[in-house]
Amino acid sequence: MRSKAYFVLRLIVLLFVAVVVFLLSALIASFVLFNLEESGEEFLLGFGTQGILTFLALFPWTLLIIDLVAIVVLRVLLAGFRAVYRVSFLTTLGGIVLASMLAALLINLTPLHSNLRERADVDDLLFFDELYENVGNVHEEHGEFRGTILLIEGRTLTIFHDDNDNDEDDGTRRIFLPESIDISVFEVGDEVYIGGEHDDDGIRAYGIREFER
Amino acid sequence: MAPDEDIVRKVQEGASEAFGELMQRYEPKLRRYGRQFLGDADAIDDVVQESFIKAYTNMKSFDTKQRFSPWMYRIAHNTFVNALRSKSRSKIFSTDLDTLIPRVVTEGDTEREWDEREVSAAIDQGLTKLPLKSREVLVLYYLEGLSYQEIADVLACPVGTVGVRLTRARTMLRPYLAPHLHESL
Repeated sequence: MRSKAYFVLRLIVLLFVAVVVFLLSALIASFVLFNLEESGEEFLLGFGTQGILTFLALFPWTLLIIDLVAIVVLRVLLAGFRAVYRVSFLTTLGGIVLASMLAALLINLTPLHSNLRERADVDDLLFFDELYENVGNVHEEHGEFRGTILLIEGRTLTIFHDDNDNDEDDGTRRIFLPESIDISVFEVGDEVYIGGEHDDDGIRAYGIREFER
Repeated sequence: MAPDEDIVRKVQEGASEAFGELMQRYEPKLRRYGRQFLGDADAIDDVVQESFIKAYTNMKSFDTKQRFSPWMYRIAHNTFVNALRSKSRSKIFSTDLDTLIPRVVTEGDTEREWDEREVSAAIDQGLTKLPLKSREVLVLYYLEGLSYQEIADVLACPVGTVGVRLTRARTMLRPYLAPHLHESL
């Protein structure tokens, strides 16, 4: 007969692994939220169908898949507990997702990701430095633009973008706004996030929001 | 007759010979349960013995505040399922859709209860023709007298799923039971 201590130890190990997997899931979710906030990509969801499509194109699906795998692994780890197996699979999965999102929001109240990004910027991060270095990068090829308003002429803005990396997304851009956008809310000096498409003259915007970072 | 849980407590405290009493009580029940999985009597005996070995080995993990019967059946169920899988040489991963979504079924709220004696008498006749998942719940509910909650513990599935499978199993068993049911039922 195995001793009581064996079962207690087995339970402790199982719970430890479950906590580690849960924290991994929460950290991934919190990083995704951090990236959305820092880049402004969350604004795309308010820019209509085109904005939603751009958002989906830019979303870090790989991280989401890893997160979902972690959540399923967690569900499997906990399957032996009565409180878990007595409830349907999808219900427990939903519960774990909610708990993970809540933990992610709590993590984002701390300066964890900001600190890690600062260390990544000075090459002081051992792991995931490329992941943190790319946080907040603008993806003009997918139709997102960011910059500071230099000039407002009628329904045209001139913005300037410089993220101190001396690459091709630095410089000025001319942004043409549709009649549906209220241009009076913007002033010179405002930092803005824009969803739009290149044409010969500049960028045709379909959405714009003031972006305070 | 001392309750199973009292005997388990004695075994946990070191009176290993008391486990023999549990074996005597459960051997015929587990053999009957095993007939739903395996056809060969020798194979069933082997699995029953293996189940008892597992139960004894893990006896210290059993909480004597719970009922022993579902715990023993759960060990036997898993051992029989593994034996069936080895026998079929099939390693196909199967998804149990019954446990995927939430179902709300409370015990006894389906049709009128059948006369349990008649069901017990007829159940062997119809059981071999039913799928395994249906046989499991019928045997555990009608022959072994476990509640929905206890069956859920044996099968490690949601309680709602037990109700759904039992309702489904009753429907499938009905044609075989017809000669045994009173007209009033």
